[in-house]
Amino acid sequence: MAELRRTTAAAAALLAVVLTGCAGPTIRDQAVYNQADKSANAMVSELRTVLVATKTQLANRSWWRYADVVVTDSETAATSIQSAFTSRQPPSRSSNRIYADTSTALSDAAELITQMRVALRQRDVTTMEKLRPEIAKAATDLESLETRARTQP
Amino acid sequence: MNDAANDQSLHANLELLDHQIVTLEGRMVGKVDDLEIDLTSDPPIVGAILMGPQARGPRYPGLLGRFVVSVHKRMHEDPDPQPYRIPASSITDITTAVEVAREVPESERGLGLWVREQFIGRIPGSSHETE
Amino acid sequence: MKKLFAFTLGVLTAIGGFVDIGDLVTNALVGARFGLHLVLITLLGIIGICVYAEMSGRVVATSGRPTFDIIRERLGPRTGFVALIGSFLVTALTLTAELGGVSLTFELATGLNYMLFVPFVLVVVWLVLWRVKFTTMENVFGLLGLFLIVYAVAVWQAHPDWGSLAHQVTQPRPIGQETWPTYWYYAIALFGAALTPYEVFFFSSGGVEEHWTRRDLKEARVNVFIGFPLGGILSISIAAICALIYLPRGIEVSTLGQTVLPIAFQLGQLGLIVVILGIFAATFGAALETALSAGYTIAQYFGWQWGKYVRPREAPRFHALIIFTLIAGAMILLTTVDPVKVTEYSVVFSAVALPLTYFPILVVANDRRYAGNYVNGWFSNTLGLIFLAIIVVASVAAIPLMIWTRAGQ
Repeated sequence: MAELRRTTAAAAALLAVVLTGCAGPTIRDQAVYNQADKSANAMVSELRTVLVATKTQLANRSWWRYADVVVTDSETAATSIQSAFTSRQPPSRSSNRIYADTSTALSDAAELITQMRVALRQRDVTTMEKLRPEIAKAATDLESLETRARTQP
Repeated sequence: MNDAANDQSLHANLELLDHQIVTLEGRMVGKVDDLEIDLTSDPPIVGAILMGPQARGPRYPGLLGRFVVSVHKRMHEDPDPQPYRIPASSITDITTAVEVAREVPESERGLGLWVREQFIGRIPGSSHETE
Repeated sequence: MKKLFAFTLGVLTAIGGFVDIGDLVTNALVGARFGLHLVLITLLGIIGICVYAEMSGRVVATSGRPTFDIIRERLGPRTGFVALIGSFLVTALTLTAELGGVSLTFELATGLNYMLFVPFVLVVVWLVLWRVKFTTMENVFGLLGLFLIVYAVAVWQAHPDWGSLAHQVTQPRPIGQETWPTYWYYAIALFGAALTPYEVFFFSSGGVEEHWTRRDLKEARVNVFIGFPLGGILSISIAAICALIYLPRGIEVSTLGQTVLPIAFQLGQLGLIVVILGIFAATFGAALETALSAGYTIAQYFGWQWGKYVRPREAPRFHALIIFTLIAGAMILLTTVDPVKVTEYSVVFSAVALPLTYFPILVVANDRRYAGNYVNGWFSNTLGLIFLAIIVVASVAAIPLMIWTRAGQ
């Protein structure tokens, strides 16, 4: 009787292993989607902060050193958001796609903020005005990515 | 409990213990860290109030209490220091604070004396009134 | 004139105490994420601090004994010691946050890194504590702190949809992607920011510094009932302007620069100057108060002479404590820890320490020996007990929620 139980148990375990192998995204994949959502959300916040700060400065409603502090703080935060996300290893192929898309979007966003910081420190109004719509677009793109990450199965 | 000075009954735990001790000029001196009680008389008489880490230490539980007492022993000149004692006869008034007609000598103010002489006292302006 | 100056004690304590770096950061953060859906909690906090500040003010005006002085005699030396450790550590953490706040305002004004200013701020705060009269301190920073009214002006000027704002207030629930645990976590943070322990230590010790008697009781009450609600309105304005400008854009507040940006956006350079001055005054004033409170708590537990009303030579341990606490705070800041993060943690730990502070006040306010004929009536006791219950719940839930939501995620 005991032998039969042992065999059944072994068979059940084997079945379980086989089934999970065939299953779709694992729990750790879900973690990547969550992290993509969070990182995109945080990056949108920094992009939009830069937009508000530069709009304010270009309208002469603040002063350069203040705008510099705000944009530099956003740049620091953006860099750390990006590196925190890209340092992760996607656990399986199912999450490769979202990982790649998010990494690219985050690094583009961080790059734009850096360019804005450079332009701002040089008081290069023309470049600042050129960058603003690009930053706005990066923000909306990241928002779509957020939604995508949230609605993944 | 009888207060030997004023010969009035009071609840020593509520009205004396852990209360602020002040001098006649209103200067703060310390807290009533412990009481010396003569249990042989009936009702028991408070002979003195005790002050300082030697008095307070034993009232803390276990390790903390022993630590306080041993640190004070080590830093005191006297190898077996007794808690600072203010006899009940020096008590002039008991309201929410205990008023005593005594100046507590600096040596019993322990760390306070060192801090005053070596540290705060040396910073310019320490003798100026600010009010 | 004396009455006007006495009034500013309450205003400083309210503005500098109610709106310090903790309130500023917490309300800005909450406004950007939850809109005005947590305002009811802020209002609750205002009522709570009014109830308890009034009680401790009443006790000090009647008995001349400030709150912490009495904690040991009513709780005993062991429980009193626990209250001391908790209150002192939280106050020291708050002091660190305030010093960071002052340094950050210099960064916003000059563009230079805030850490360069930390030693300078440390020295100036200490100098003011060493030499400036208690009443002068209050008057100057109380009046300057009123500059923070610029937040209310900005809200007015933004011509918001008042109906929609009011609607948010009446709907206390998380919005968008926020969850109930984070909602309650920030409710506790707001509560901790409104009721920080050092406020009652400072208020009641200030009563002794100012030699209050029974005749000053009425003034003390005016201070409380006008000063703290004023601070509360400012807090709500901070949340409102961040809600109006940040919420639709998905911006979350994590720096002091972001806290003042809506003012620049709305009111231009003049507004920006005024708000930075206002924050400087509020955080500097709060740094003074927390430093003094750090000294008050320890000195009052051990019975050492304390206070600015005596010569520094006569309160050496009190002043030494203040110096060491200031240096410790500065050193913590110099480890490059983010001052805004320190602030966010300080308000939550304040919430944890609240019962240790407030329970003795309620007990003492009912004791005829301390409160004389002014013991609590049924109204004060009812309110006092209700808030004590809320405080205990908040205190117990704070750390678990902090862990669960990873400090608000």
